[in-house]
Amino acid sequence: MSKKYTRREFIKTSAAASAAAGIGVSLFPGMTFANQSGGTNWHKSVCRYCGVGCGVMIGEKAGKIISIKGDELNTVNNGHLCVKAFYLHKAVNSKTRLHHPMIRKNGKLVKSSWEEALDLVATKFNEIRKANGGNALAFYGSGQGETEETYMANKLFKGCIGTNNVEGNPRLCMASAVGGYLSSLGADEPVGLYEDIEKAELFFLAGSNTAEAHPIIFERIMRHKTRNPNVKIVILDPRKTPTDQVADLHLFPKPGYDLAIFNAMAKVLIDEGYADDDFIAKHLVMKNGDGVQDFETYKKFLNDYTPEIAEKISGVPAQDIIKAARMFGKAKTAMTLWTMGLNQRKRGVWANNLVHNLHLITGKIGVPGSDSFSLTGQPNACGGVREGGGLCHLLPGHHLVVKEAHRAKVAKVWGVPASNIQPKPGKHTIAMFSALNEGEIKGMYIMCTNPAQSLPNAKKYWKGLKEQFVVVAESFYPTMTTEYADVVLPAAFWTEKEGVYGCTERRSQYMPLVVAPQGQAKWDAFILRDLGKKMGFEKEFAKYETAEIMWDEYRGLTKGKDMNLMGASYDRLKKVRGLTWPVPTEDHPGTYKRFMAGDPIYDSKFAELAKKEGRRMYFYGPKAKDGKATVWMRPHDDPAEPTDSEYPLALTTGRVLEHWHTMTMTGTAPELNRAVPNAYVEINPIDARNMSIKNKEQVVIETRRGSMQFEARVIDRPVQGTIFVPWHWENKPINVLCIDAFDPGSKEPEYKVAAARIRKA
Amino acid sequence: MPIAGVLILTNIEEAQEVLVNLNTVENVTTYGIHKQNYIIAVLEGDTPKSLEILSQSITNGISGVIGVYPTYVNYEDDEAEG
Ligand code: SF4
Repeated sequence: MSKKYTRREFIKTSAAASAAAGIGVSLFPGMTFANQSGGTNWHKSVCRYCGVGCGVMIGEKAGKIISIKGDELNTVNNGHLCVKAFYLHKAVNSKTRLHHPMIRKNGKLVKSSWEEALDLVATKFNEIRKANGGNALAFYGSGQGETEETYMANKLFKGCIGTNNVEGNPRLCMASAVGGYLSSLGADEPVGLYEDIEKAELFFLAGSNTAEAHPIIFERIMRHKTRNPNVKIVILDPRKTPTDQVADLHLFPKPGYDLAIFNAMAKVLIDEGYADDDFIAKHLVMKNGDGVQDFETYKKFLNDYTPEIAEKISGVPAQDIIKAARMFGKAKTAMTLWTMGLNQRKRGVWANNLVHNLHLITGKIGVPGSDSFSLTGQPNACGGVREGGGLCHLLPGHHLVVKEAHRAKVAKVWGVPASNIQPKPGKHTIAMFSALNEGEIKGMYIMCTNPAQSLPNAKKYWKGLKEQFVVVAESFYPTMTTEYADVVLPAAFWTEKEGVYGCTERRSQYMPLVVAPQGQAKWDAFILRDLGKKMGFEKEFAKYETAEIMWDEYRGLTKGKDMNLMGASYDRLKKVRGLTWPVPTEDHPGTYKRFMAGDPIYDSKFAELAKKEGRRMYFYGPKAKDGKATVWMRPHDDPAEPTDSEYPLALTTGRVLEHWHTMTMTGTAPELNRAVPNAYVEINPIDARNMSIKNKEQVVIETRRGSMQFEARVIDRPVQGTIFVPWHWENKPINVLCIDAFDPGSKEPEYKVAAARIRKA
Repeated sequence: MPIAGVLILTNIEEAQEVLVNLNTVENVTTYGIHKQNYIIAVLEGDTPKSLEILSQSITNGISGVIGVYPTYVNYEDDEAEG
């Protein structure tokens, strides 16, 4: 370094060099980041916020985090981050971090020792279990917890306490995607990876505000589109979002009325010759509620969904539906990306099925650049909860509680009698909180999530949280849920613990411990382990001295499964930028496309058979028969609460770029709070005019579940007849007004549509 | 006083104009257009908030900008600001 450089100039040069490296440019030849970052220790990790799974390098000096850098070697983001990175360190060092356990005494939470807090929880849980059985207890976890943390919870509750009342907040966001993948493709999680983005000709963004909810995915799409003018983007969303700046076509359906559009698109694709007949004949079966049908029956079913009929149902002009279908059909490759707009619906699984149909009937799956690819909201919803088995019907490693052999296998590894694991699924999230209300569940352990704010029709469930014995393990205090807690346990946060996150693209990535936990905070997995010991399961939890021991035991359970992680040891994960399963051995590089050549399971077990049958894919997942995927005939179905003369507006909710979930993390950065300071409701200008509502005026939203005041933002974003409210703010928890009806298959609630009305405040 | 290295993704045909506009914005130092439509820049601010405002004003205020993507954020003396 030249002596005339000030420290600030030096940091500026580093910052510019880092940006240059992010696009493979060398701005200052001879200068490397390492040789000018002034004694900073760099630790390879993963972003804490969303399900994209961007690689970050954490800069630490003398035990303090002083900088964050995108990890250029990580193929997810190549060193690029989104604006939430400005605040990553703020969350760690937030003033709202909880530093000590607390116990409620005389109605108030007061500081306690770990010993006292854990003794109390163990005693209460054992009392409840003894008096009412294991099913009177429940665990509610998170897609933000590490896989090891969920693994410990699963063992304690399912294996030792003996209840399958184990759920996590991915039930509220991803369950319909799981149901869709399982029923359509036979196995959970996407066929391909993010690298399909750079090979796709058409992007169909359905119910996904990609620009704001998954910014790095959006950047990849945009980088690709700006350099390839033939790349097109079609959006299906009742609201205009920043993603629209790049759309070639936008379909605006009434919220909850889009199933007919997918069917109409399928009809156009078949009628106009875009279907891949050979792929259909060799790889697919058609099904409806009565079982397997032939292709002709499917075509007849689609006759009820001409574009004109779909227009009547959805409000989207038939010509636009035809145009979208033709764009999909003409493109050599297509990727559909979707999130909550399809999942959080009474017919979320059906919506997912119908998206898969478009790819299946055109053969736009299992080829580079084509995939039906569900985007995940939380950083470890896929890894920890879907794969880790953190739901009431699952066991770790894609095992099921209903299967005797699975229970026996998992129980053996856990060192518990197989009879401890109940053969019936426990209660799903809404049923669990209903049972808490009714006193059937008398004790609940909540880890790393804020259900008092995030549940739909949230107020209804505050009763149970208030009346029963509730333990909350959290890094931040207070949250809406800690208001109801009997015991609050301080949890170590990101950078203060090691563990694995699995992101949207089947990629498992290791995160290191960089700094010591703040105050008396402890790692969640150790809290659960110690609680288990105190409850009398000393022997069962004695061996878990490190995160690696937990991970190794877990990955052992994935051996031979579709999500084989045997090749993903800590040693290896510490070096590489994640591995995409199946990764069966330590020398396997991870898998790009499943169910086809290059997938180790396909290559070793199904390639020959597929070749004999002239097929290029074999859907070998547990729910597929004869290696075939399923095209489902799913009819239109109204949302649970259609609009009517009393409640004429459709209320829908979503995210804004600067915030994330219930703001326990982003809300701790005062800057982020100020950036989007007040909760607001977006109203279409025509609706606003009809109701004589002016921009910035205070209005009251009413649904059948209550009312809440917001500032009106009159803006041409929501389609006429729809209002939109971001869901992040604790002082305006819009979920209180949402309906808690749920999909009968996935049990995921219909956050995205509720009937509402507005009046001036 | 956080400092951030960022990549600013632009429409290809507007990259040059965006660069000219960026050079008039206070607390932004640019390092040219690279790989067709990325502008390398360094943003400086008093707090993470000011970086946020700056990147928002670039995204929303300069035509042709698709997004601002940080690659490096240094907060070395940010702690004093709380
Ligand atoms: S896109 Fe998601 S994972 Fe990537 S930096 Fe932003 S919040 Fe983090």
